[in-house]
Amino acid sequence: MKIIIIIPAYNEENNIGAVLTELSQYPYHILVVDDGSTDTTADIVRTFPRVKLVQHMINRGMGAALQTGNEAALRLGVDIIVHFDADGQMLASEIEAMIGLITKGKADITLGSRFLSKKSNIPFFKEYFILKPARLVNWFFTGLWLTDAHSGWRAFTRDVAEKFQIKQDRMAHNTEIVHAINKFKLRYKEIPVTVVYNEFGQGVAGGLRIVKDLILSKFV
Amino acid sequence: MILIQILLIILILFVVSRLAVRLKSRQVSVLNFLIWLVFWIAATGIILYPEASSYIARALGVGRGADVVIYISLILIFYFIFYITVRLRIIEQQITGIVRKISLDEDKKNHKT
Repeated sequence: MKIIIIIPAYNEENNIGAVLTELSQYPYHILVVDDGSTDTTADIVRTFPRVKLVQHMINRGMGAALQTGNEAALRLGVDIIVHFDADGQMLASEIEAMIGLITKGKADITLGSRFLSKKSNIPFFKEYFILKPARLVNWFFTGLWLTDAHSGWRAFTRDVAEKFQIKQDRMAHNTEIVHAINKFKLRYKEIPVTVVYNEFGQGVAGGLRIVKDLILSKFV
Repeated sequence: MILIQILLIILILFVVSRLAVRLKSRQVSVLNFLIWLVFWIAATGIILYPEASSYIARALGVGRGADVVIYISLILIFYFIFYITVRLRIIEQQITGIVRKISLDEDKKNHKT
């Protein structure tokens, strides 16, 4: 079974090396999508011979990079795709848990949830002013009430990647994927994961931008 | 004629002339050109005969003619902002499509060599 870990990276020269070193201990295939980085991200990736690199010539956003990764993985004959962050927020040791139900054929897609486990050190403000309202936004746009749909952690089958394309170039792709679960009646499961916070990530403005992207998607 | 009328009409003549140039070079479609032409002719009409807007205002139940002009302008401006935002999004998606195709094609090329 071919498992490919897709890592979208934009100017991650400070983190990507450590993430790839950790991932290299596992038997998975690794695909980095360099999303038009202007730093040495691509050079660092090239020092890992086992890691495949695909490059966007200009920055198009995380959703766009993930879709490019999906298409590249499909060409490589992938069976299971895992989306993984380049900034070291996720633990490679938890990939096993993410893909377990899929390899057993019991789920089409799994989503990592920070709220099912108590391990993540989510900052208070982020939890109550960004992530909890985000659940409501997700429910409104997708009709699915999840404990956490914005962790960015997800794994899914080849079939899912063939069925659906990420059209949201920026951060609204999280909600778009949840929407696809509903639309294609995918069997999904939330898996408790740990997310390590080293910095704040997207603030309220980022959240509002996601809502704007989602509203616009109703017209385009 | 008061000064503001002269200035506005000169401005409109300028805009229409630019529009005509764009029509000639096919940067705007004939339909678009006609829609804009009608719009600017109507605007000229209201500038020359401001009382005309009062009729429309009374018909619509709005107090003053000048208010009708502002309301209609606002609706048009909001519509155009919306239209441009949607167009921009379509263009962004197209750019992403091109960038993706290039990156995947490059990858394929590298594979062969």
